[in-house]
Amino acid sequence: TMPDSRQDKELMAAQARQVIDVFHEISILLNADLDRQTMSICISLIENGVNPEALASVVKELKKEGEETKRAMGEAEGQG
Amino acid sequence: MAHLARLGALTDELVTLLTGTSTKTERAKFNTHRESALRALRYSNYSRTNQFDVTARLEGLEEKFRIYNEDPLADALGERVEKVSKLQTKWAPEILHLFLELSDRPLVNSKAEE
Repeated sequence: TMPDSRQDKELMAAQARQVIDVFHEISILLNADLDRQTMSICISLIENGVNPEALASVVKELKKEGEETKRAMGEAEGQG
Repeated sequence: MAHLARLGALTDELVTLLTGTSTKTERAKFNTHRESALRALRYSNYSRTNQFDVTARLEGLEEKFRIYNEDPLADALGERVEKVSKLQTKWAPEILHLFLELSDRPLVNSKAEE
């Protein structure tokens, strides 16, 4: 008989969610400061062969840039 | 080629999420971030993740939590790491390695959830 592909897909999605949940809990316990969405993208990048240490340094760098942008916007608003 | 396109698309998302820039808002800035991120991700010189090293670092952290009387944190971490090993996710050591690299003074900042 043919496997029920819809049921298979649902099961796979549920398993994937479970995996993401556990990883997210660990990231919180380690205080890695990654929201769920950012973490999911990071996991996809790793699954695509990206080196974790390289990714960590890119994440830190981008966060710094983001904070600077936010600060600059805040200052601009303060002036206006 | 498909791999590169995928890497590019994921990097785009990461840049937008973390910097708040996008092709629609601040194109020039976004492109600068994107190019440097992509270069760093593609041409990194780091060695491959050693899963035994990752396990040792996590165990060390668990022990440190216990030494500082943060048993709930230690238990929570130990349980999750055990769960991950049971789930047999292919890239688990690399994902945990990323978290360890991003980890910021968890002893001071982390709290086990009720």
